[in-house]
Amino acid sequence: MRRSGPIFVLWLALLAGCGGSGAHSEQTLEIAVNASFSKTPYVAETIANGASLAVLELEQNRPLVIGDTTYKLEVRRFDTGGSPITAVSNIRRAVAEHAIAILDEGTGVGASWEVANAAHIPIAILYQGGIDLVDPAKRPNVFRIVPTDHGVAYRLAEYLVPKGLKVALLHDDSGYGQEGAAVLARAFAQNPEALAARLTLPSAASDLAPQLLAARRSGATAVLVWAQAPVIAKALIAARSSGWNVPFYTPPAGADPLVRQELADHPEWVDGLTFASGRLTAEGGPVPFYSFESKYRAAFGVESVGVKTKAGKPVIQPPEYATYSYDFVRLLVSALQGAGGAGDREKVLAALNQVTIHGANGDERGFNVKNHEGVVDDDVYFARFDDMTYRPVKDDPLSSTLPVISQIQP
Amino acid sequence: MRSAALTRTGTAIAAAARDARRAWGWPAHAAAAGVVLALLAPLFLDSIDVQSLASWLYLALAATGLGFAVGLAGMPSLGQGAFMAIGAFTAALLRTKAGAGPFEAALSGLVVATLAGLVLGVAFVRLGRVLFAVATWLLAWLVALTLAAFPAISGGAQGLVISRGSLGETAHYELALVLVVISSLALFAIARGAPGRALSALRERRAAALALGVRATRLRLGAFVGSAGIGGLAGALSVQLAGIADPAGYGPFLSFKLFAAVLLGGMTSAIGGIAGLGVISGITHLSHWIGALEHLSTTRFDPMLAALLLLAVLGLGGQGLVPFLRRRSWRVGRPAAPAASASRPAPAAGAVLGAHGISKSFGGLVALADLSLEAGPGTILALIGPNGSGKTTALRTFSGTLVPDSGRIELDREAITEEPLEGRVRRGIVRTLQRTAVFEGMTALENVLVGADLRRRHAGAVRTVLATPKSRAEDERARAGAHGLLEVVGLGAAAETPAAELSSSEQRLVMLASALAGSPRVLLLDEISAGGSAEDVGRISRVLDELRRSGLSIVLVEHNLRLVRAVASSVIVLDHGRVIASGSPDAIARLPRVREAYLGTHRL
Amino acid sequence: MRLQVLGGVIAGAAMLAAPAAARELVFFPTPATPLSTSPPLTGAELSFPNVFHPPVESHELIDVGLDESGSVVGVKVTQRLVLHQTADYRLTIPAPVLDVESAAGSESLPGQRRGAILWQGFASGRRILAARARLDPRAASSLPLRVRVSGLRRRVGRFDIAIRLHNATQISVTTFSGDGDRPTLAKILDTLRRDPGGSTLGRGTYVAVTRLTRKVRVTVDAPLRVVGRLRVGGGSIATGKLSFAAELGGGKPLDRMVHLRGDAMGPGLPMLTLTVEPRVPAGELRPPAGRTWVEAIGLDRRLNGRRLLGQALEASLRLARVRQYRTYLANPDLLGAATARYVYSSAPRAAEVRPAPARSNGGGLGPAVIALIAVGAVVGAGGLAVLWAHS
Repeated sequence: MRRSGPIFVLWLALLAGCGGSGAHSEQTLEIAVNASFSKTPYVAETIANGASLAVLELEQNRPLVIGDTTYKLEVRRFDTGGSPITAVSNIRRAVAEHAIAILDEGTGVGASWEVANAAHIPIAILYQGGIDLVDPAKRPNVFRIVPTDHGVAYRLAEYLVPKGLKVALLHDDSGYGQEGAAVLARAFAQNPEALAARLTLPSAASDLAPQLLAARRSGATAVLVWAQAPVIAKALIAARSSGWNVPFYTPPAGADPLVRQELADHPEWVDGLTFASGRLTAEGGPVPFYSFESKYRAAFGVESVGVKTKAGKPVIQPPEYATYSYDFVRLLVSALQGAGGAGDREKVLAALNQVTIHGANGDERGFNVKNHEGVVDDDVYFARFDDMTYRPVKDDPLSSTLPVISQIQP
Repeated sequence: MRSAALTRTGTAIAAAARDARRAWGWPAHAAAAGVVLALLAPLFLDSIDVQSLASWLYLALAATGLGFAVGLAGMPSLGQGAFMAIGAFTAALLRTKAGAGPFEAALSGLVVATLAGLVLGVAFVRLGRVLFAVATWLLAWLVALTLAAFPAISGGAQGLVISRGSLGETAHYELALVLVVISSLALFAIARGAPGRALSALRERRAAALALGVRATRLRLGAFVGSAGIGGLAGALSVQLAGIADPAGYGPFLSFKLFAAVLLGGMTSAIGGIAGLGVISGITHLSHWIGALEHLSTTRFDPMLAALLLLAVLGLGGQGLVPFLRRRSWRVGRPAAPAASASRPAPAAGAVLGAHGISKSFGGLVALADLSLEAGPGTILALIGPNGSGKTTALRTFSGTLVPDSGRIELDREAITEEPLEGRVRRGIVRTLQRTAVFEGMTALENVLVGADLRRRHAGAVRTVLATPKSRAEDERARAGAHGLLEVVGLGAAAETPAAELSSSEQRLVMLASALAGSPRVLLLDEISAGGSAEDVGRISRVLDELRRSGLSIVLVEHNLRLVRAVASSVIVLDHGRVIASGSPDAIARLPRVREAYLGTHRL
Repeated sequence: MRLQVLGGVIAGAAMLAAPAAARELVFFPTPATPLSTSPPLTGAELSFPNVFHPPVESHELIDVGLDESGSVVGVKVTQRLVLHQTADYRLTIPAPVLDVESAAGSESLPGQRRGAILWQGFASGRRILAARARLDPRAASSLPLRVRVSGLRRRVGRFDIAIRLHNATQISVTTFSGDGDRPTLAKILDTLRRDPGGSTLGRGTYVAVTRLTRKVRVTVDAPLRVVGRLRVGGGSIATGKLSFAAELGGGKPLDRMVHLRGDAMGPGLPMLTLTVEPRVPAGELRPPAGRTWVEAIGLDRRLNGRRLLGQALEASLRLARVRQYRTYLANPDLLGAATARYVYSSAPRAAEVRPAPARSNGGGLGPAVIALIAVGAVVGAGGLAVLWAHS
């Protein structure tokens, strides 16, 4: 009796301690990747892989604990098949599944943003650069981390006009090509004398010799091709095979491995091809990007271009698009921390405007209330191909400060 | 007058309700139960599934609409996706550029697609089946390429974004379901009614149908326009449900998929399109589910799956799923059709058919040379002669199937030489074909009804769908008359027998009854007794005699000289397109040159 | 840097040479030394340090809206930063910003976060970043001038508008006194005179001081030049004394009462505009003898170490205060050139918005209309039924 009293009290105290309100919980948050896995698998897989890498890192390094909840992130893929209707339908499904964020290639965002916005779910566009897609005032839940078409076009104009070239503007008849043509027209509007011709390249045509001949006859001393990768390759083949060796300039699609694959039989035709793209490194050097790249390779392997240098070394493609999705997931994590968890989605969305991280390229990355573009127009640089690999050009102030990224398989 | 109108209305509604109750069998119960369950489905499903179902239902609506063209009229339309696109983008542009409301936009889509169907249909419906399919396929490509070429109109790769407005997914679902039900019922009613019979006859045997006065162009155009309009409405509504008009979503594959669905489900069934689409969707979902398990995207296999299914259907006979299942269930507990009363329609008064100097050549071959004859009311003029003598050619010029190179044809002294076939049939000149040509997909009664429908005034598509009192009363009378005619030709008991199951001679009797059902004033019979037994010939002889006594004018082409001797008032003998003799049967029988040219060892 | 070394050398020599008084090296505040937390305005803390290559110039126009009594109703700032570099830049300008937009001539678009204006990009040689920001009214507490106005209202005829101006920049600062090293101090004064912005002196320097007394409180202010003008709007004309100019602080009184009197010919709204600029006290920096302070200490024996130290400290602290008010929004380059002009103007009273008269039934279809529609539907259905029955 004397011993059982204190024991009984101890037992009661233990029970009281166990039944408190500070119980720890776990929650899985879905990150939906909405892209065309069936039609453009390279882009879609890269976006998904970048997100998965960020999630993997989080799991391996330290769990995401906010308050008394441990959050686990999960990447779920939705195939749009290139159709905006399917893209919107996928968004509806992701919203129904209470996704915490949507990583989108960009197709159909014009309609899907409202669906996601009603649930305060952010959409991050990671491929398409059309300027109308992002508007912080009208579409507060839409963000983008990828160079904008506007930025690329204006930088191209800024780069080419001082060279005194007469540029033939060629664009394909896809939506991408036509939108690009429109934005290039605005970019060159102040310098119409820099343009020699404007021509449309039919995407379905197997041979673009007539169009390139027309461009040549216009007196052009340079060609700017705003088109998808297959059309860029065809244009280059048409020009070079006829002996027309003027410099070629392209938007980021010029770096697509497909261009080099199509010209594998004539690697010398690729030399000199210059493309504009988002910088992979910052002023501090390539170390942050190399660190990201090695983690990416460890997780997903090397992305082979399928061609070799003159010395017979296989060429690999740096995972550019993966950096964008990787950065967005890390921004999201930061926003979750800033909002005190995922309970209030509106707070998480608002917090996305207030956080900054060090991006995969070593640069600071973040959004704010006025600007939802994670890649500023200034961060577009130019790189030129030589022997199937590219290096930043030296005749552009930004590009000349950037180091060369190795593209040879280790 | 107002109370009389109201009384009549009440009586009509009561009669219609009685008829409906009588026709309400277990399939109708099952269908009604299914529809009620479907209407209640949103209560049990989440919004994503309701959205998906609504989208599928709009596609089913387009497939049902396609059934009007493909199933009813036998026109292989590969352009339904184009009409969906026209409706969709009309609605999308009105919503986005003009601020129109959802219903105005949908109605506008319907109207524009219908007009497009009308304009294109005027050219397309005159084409043969192969060219029609090609033309509609080109239309599908043309619309898709136009949308791709003008991103300023179509929204380009991003499509045109439309705000959903006041209609949520549940409202869309219910609306889509109601429209599918209405369009299926309309298709069912038209298929069973006079327009459906006529289109079915055209589909099976065009020449025979035209000979019975079926208005091919008008009916086919109506079916095509109806199909286009429903497709446009489906497009206009589905685009508002999706919230985005994607040009790439209305490519030729959509038209192909809808066509495959109609064939797969059964183009002759009102729900064939829905069933076919259900099978395609089911298999597609299954493949996606399997793909998801293996982390593979199988969306790109959808066109291949649809093509494989279509090939399977065509390889298995092309009938489709619903007719296949129906054939099975036909033998199991299907309620018997109510016995119809028989009455004989009053024959029309005969007319004088006059042919003066008719000549017709085919290349260098003279088929007819300077033929002149007259067939008056209450007479049977027999045309005889060896094979190739021009007898059938003569009948074809009289009926309007062929235009003579020279000469004049008159009806009651009125020149009708330039009148086309359809007009002559309406005037009462009806011809039976030389070869046996019944509509095998129909019963004997339905075959006769095709002929009877010529004289109906309340048998249009709208009246048929709405089952108006006049339409139903007229239908009853036509059925009774058809029964009566079958009795006359001795086939009263075979009224519900499929024509394909009748003997050759019985089929020719059905052809006779079909011709008579149109109340002809001049009957042109081409070897009506061919293949018949002595009993059949005897029956025909009695019928012809009766018809002659009733005042009908008959021109009879025959090889059976006993029949000719028995019934003909006069005989004209043709040889190599020329009249070599004419006169009474007895007089003709005695002429040596006739015997020489034709009879040979035969005795008249 | 050179002066610091010099200062150190001198101090060392003095320590060796002077046997009696203990010399101490004391930190001498420069114009770049902030005397208070604000201005520049505070806001968000920097999550990452600013990235830029100096120099960065900052030029600001601060629009202060006043009501009829002179109370602040709104503050807007247009800041123009000029970068001279070929490199990346990432700048966070703390401010209680409510809204920001790009201003004329800007070569980039500003971003906005809670309590900050953001800039990010790459400058190739020269880049102008111009933003116009609407600030939280709390920012008014950091304005240099307080205004009280009476009589500023619409009238026709004689008017007498009283404007009380108060220089609000005065602050009490803890500093030191003692006998400073004369040559060092003379050089400091000459440097301050040459470069009142303080970029040459940098963030601070050292002076050798004997007989040091710490924790001496002094008050400093930023001299303000105020130019006022009265206009009458609506096309009306006014005559009389409609403008004035005043200097507040910097040895002159911090407060001033100004009267604007005249006649208004029309009923237009009177609008008062006060342009305020923090002014460098040039007079204080002029040497009493010679062309430079270095010459002056040779010519005027009264310029002993104690007096020179006091004068230099006062001048430097005043310049620091001036510099604070020349960076209402922070210049990321603490030593970069900065100018600011404050324009106080009476804001026109917003037009009254009369509420719309309330509807009697709160909108939507009334029961009568619904009943009418229902009856119409029934009649329509009946009519269709009759039509059907007769067709």
